[in-house]
Amino acid sequence: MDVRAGWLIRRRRARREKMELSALLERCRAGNELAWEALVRQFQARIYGVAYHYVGNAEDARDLAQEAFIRLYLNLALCPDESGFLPWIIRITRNASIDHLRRKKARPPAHDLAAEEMLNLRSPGRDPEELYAADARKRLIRRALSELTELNREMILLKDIQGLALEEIAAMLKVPLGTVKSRSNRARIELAQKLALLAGGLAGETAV
Amino acid sequence: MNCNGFGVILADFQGGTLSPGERAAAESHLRACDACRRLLAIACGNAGILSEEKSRALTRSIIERTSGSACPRVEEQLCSLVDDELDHENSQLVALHLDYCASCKAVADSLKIMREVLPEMAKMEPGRNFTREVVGATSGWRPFRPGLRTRLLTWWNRLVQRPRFSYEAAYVGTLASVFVFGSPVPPLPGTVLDALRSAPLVQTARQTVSRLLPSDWSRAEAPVLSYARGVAVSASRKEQAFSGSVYYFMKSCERLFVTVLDWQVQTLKTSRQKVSGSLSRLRSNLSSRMSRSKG
Repeated sequence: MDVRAGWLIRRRRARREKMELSALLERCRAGNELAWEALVRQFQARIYGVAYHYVGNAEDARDLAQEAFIRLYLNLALCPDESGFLPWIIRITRNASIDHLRRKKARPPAHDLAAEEMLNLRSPGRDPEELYAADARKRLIRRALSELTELNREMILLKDIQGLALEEIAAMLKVPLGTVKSRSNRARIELAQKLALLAGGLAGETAV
Repeated sequence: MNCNGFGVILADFQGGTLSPGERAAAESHLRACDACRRLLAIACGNAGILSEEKSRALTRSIIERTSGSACPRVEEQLCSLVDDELDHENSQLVALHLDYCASCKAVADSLKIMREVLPEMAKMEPGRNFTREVVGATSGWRPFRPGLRTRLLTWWNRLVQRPRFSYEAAYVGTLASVFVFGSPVPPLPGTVLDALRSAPLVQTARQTVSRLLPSDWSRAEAPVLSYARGVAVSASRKEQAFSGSVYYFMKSCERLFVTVLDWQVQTLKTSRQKVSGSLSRLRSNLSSRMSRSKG
């Protein structure tokens, strides 16, 4: 019963968000600045998260997220509504990030340091110990993520973190659906193995 | 009864197939002999001679020497198990493996944690002033609202940029040209007329045969054969016409495909130059606006 109630709430919420998004986009297209600001607020954390994942640097990620929003603003008339919107804006951010990395001709830096910066950015008012306890699992996952190959990390970002459907990822990366599915499973297993190893290592250190 | 005798009838004793006399003798020997009681307990599997650890080691060693480790197969199914996409029987088998394999259990636990935590990592706050900066950077710009002509042009450009456009254009173009101008190898008149002609031929042949067969077969044979030959010639003509028209269609399609492909490549090159030019202009505009707003 609880499960069903939760499912109903999620579905209702998703439907409300969907309606809000299409209404917002319509108003943005009509030149309503307030709607544009609301749209930016609604998606900025997600877009910044995607950009950050690719470039691994808070300042560059901010610039790239801005660039993605400016591209969105210029192409409001052409962007898809509702379910197609999120994959579209994620693709814009991904392309901008990859262009940026190509321009810099550098690989993204390791995520450890950046993860620390990001944790401090997220909620500066909270008690450090409480923050540490709450984010311990995320820190561990970020550490394990930083040890994956770029391809596997991207699969985890698109499928498991951003929650895109396999079909959307296949269209974005221009690879067959079956390939995306097998890559996604491989990436998950690899991340889980790294996580298990890291957790085992930490448990060992604590025991010693 | 002695111990050797008990050993001989042990299987029958377990199976309950002894005669009452033999069974009574065996039971009286069991009451007196510790060794035979232990033997019976081992045979019944109640002896507990292997500890849990030794039992697991034995299972592992048997599996290693027979089918090999099941861990790779479990790894393939772990994601489906965590996502509740595995059928009941496979779920049970994987769960049984996880009860005994610590490394697979750790991976499965990690997958469960990932499933819970990863979606929470989708959002990251970019800082307080981010919205203000984006709204500031876009204020004063009107959203680009193209007219019908521009939208049609955009749609056409998107259509042309698809790699399979040349295939589709060649197919549709050839089909249209065949329908409008016809084909030098006449597939339709040949085929349809032959078919129409052959229908009455067959009908007449049938009538002739039914009329002639009962009285005189030799008189019927020649006209039937001639009709059959006629039908066969007509069918072969139809086949030739069909293969000729297919060949003509394929060749026309190929010629048109090469032409469209050349044109498509030229169009893509031009549009790429245009896009790179406008992007560099946009970038320089943006950087000048940002520097002005910071100043």
